[in-house]
This record gives sequence, C-alpha cells and structure tokens, in this order.
Amino acid sequence: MTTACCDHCDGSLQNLFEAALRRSHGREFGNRSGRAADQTNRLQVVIRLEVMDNVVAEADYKATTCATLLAYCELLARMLRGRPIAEALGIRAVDLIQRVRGVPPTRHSRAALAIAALRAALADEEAKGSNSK
Amino acid sequence: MKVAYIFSTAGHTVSYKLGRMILPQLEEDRHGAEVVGMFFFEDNTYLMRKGDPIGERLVKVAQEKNILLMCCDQCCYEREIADKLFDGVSIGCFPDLYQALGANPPDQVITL
Repeated sequence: MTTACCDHCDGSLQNLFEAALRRSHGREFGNRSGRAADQTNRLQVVIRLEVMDNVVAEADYKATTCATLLAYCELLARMLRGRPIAEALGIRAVDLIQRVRGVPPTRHSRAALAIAALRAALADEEAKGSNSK
Repeated sequence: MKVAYIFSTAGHTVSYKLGRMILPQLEEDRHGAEVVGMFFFEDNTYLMRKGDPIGERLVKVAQEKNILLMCCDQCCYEREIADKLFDGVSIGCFPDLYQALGANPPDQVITL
C-alpha cells in the first residue's frame, strides 16, 4: 500500500520519476534560473523559477536522465510552487530525502544537487537576506 | 580473459545459468574466465535482495574475487527493493556501470 508522506507526493520514487518523464521540460520561462553539476557522475540540473511578489509562482527543471535525480527534482518543483522565497530557501536536501522512500544512501547526493541548483537560482535573494541581517 | 555478465532476460536466467552453472564454477575456481562484473536487469534484481540464498552465495564469492555487482536502478525502484539489497551491491545505470568497470575493464561483455 502506498502512503502519502506529504501534499506533494505519495513517497514513491517510481511515481515521481514517471511524472518527471511525462512532463515537458524544454520550455524557457521564468525570471530566475540556477544550474548545478556533479562532474564525477556527469549529472546536471537547471532549475527555472517564475518569482512574483517574493513568491515562487512556477517552477520547472531540466535534469540529466537519472531516475533518482529526476524524482528529487520533480518533488522539489512541486514543493516550490506557491511558496514564499524565504521558505523556498529553507528547503534542504534532507527534506527531499525524507519524503522519498527506498533510495539507498549512495544516491542521496542527487537531492543535494537539486538543492544546489535551487540555491543558484535564488542566490541573489539569499545574498539580500544575509545582508539584511 | 576478463568477462562481465549482463543478466537481461528474466525467466530461468539467474536461477539456472547463474545459480547452477556460473556461481558453482566460480566457487570451485573452474569457471575458465575472470569475472569482473555482473549487472542485473528487471526481475533478475530480486536475486540481490537480502535473504536470497543464491544471492548470498554470489555476494560471498564476489567479495573474494573482487567482482562488481550492480543492479539497474530503475528496475529496483520499480520493485521497491533499492534499499533492500545485500551490502556491497550498488544500483545504477549504464554510466555507473561503465565508470565502475573502468578501472578493471572486461575483454568481453556477455548478455544472458
């Protein structure tokens, strides 16, 4: 039986991966984008965001076709939509890892890669937050 | 000669060709080729799930002979066993397999 772990997914990597494959990720949109790469494993992610009034109105991604990475990116995009920038910056790799069951520890670095792309997309906002403290 | 096996077809593949031929021959040091890696697709991945008796023997001989054991990651996720494999058995796709075999490449890749 599949049990929902949050509002964004049912905890199944397979379902997130299949959703990622069904979606078209080629569209150019948004006013923020960030890229992160893992040279060792030849993986990369580009996160695109449409930010309006300090809220992520839309989020999409384009990633290397690794099942684990695509699943984490799909979940991250779902978590980002409608979320204030301040909250989006608070999402950590462990938040993705905890929501998707069955991923062995050797694949957890894919979550960190997705978060690194998010950080790159929101680098300006993160700097503003740091400067205002 | 160094070989790598890819267990692609399901059915009688791992219980018969691996379990009754390749594995006993490796255990008896008379297989005739140096096996550097084995990659498992689809239902063949169940062999690498903790508790499988053939898998247990294979993991033991793989540790002794430094044989890479890897399962298709998508196949494991689909079957929800990616985190239930024997210690030392990794998951991955072709880039991971080629990278892992890069340091000790096979002369032949045999698909069963």
